[in-house]
Amino acid sequence: MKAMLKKIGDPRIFVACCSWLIALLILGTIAQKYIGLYMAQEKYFSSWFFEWRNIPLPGGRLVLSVVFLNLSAFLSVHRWSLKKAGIFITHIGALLLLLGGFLTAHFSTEGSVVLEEGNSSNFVSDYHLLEIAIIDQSHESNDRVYAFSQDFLVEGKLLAHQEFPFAITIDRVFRNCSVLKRESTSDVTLKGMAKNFELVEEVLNKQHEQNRWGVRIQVTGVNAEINGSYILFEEMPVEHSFEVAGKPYLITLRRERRYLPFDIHLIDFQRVLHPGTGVAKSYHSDVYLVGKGRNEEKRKVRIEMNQPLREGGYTFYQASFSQSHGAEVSILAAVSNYGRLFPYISSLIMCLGLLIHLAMLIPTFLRRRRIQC
Amino acid sequence: MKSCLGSRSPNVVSILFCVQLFVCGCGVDRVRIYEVPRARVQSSLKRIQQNSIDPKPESMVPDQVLEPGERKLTWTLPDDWKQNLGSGMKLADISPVNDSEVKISIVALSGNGGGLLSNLNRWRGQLGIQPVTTKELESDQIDFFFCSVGQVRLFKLFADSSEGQGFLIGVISLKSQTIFVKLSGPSERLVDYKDKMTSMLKSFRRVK
Repeated sequence: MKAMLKKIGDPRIFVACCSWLIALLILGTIAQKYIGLYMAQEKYFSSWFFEWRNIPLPGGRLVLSVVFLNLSAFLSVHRWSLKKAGIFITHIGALLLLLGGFLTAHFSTEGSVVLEEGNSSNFVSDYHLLEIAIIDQSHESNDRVYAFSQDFLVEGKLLAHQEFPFAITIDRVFRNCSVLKRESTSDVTLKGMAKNFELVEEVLNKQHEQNRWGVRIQVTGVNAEINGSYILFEEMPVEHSFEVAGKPYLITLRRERRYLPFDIHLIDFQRVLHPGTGVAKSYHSDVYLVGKGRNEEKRKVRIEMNQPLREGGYTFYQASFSQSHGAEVSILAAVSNYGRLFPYISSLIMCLGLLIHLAMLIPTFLRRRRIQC
Repeated sequence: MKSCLGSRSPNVVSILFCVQLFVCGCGVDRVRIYEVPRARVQSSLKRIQQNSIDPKPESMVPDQVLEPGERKLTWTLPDDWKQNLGSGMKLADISPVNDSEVKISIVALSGNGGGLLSNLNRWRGQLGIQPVTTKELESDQIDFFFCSVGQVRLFKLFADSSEGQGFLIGVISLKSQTIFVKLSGPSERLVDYKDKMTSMLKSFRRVK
């Protein structure tokens, strides 16, 4: 086992991985000009493998995993000694950095909270991920939501659950689509908006968030009136609703929502301009945080540029605003990242390791110098 | 110190690897089930118009929902007008019982509905009127008020000829969509219907 660990911990693997990471960095940087930042990140850095001219090549995730194992194995098999303390500490720092990256890759979320003045919101809409939500509206004040993650947006995938009495099959997925009026509306299997409109695939936009996703779905297991082919797309003006066994259901395709343990109520959004110019000096949103389970306790907070709000595991930044519809709308970026502190901590540890290593080398250096003199 | 992780070192690496594989497997094909309170809309605009119109009982509410949990949009029909519910983006067609030449169509489009200017210029084109620029747009606007769901802008587009057709267009801007309420018919008669159109626009609200 030790021999195997020695092989895994071979520094040459580390050097090879670093070389490949540099190549990936160059490839990704060039590719983002053509396919956009998000797609380049997904293809080259967040993937295990990617294809280049039909040749599968290791992606960033695989390479970093190998580096992680390589460093772990290196630390496992090599003996500690005071002389090597600096090197060990530096390696531990590097491991922590990778661990932070791993946490960020798997557990961080980014989204936005859109608030109109005088209104409240209690959810974050993801920038990139989507979900198909089936909403049972039969309860008096609550909605019961069955949210199927983006991984279900695959052709042929079945969306079913014992708690609702129908099944949905994904017929076709459109990563970017437009909605066109249908020429013929005689097909009786087309239901809802699909009766009059159809989705047409469009060229992918480089700005990922500007793509309008759409799906064609088949609803089965109810009756002839409801069973059939439907279309769903982002920001549909009319959502599909039908009643099954006395329960009203809504089906919608939307950005993945994560609910906050509190409400954010926008009191006022202010945009301050430099006097006599149209150049913005600052933006800020005055909000109430209305807690749940804390007797609806209210706390007034100001969120402004470079002064985000940290609450409930999220950091809220003043990201954008809209004044086009009369009422002012403030848009907050909400980021949750458990690996947030790792780069700072690991950098400090690596610096400390390198300093110790250099300090250890000073006597040897001085001795050699004395001999040379 | 003898060794960094001692005799347990192989296990530690295996555990780290297993943890990594396990976490990588998490999040695939997730189905989240949760309950949320139905969205509460507490627009400040609501207060302004709370007593502007006494809503009548709805005979028909169009089959549309803006956001999951958000309440349906409805309006009060003017007296002696009839309504046919639409499909797709068209929410309804409304016309006076005794006047078949005049019609209101209500259309909901996502976002800003392609832009106010482009829509108004499209309608100007239908009436044979020259398109306008953003600066000239305001000249078509004849009224501005609030209903309980948002701000309403009323535009008048009349064809130049004396017996021409015209449009009165109400534009209601909501958070995620824009509602276009278009009254079309002979220009002379639209003037008479303007008050009814305004009352109807003010009556837009959400119902359970």
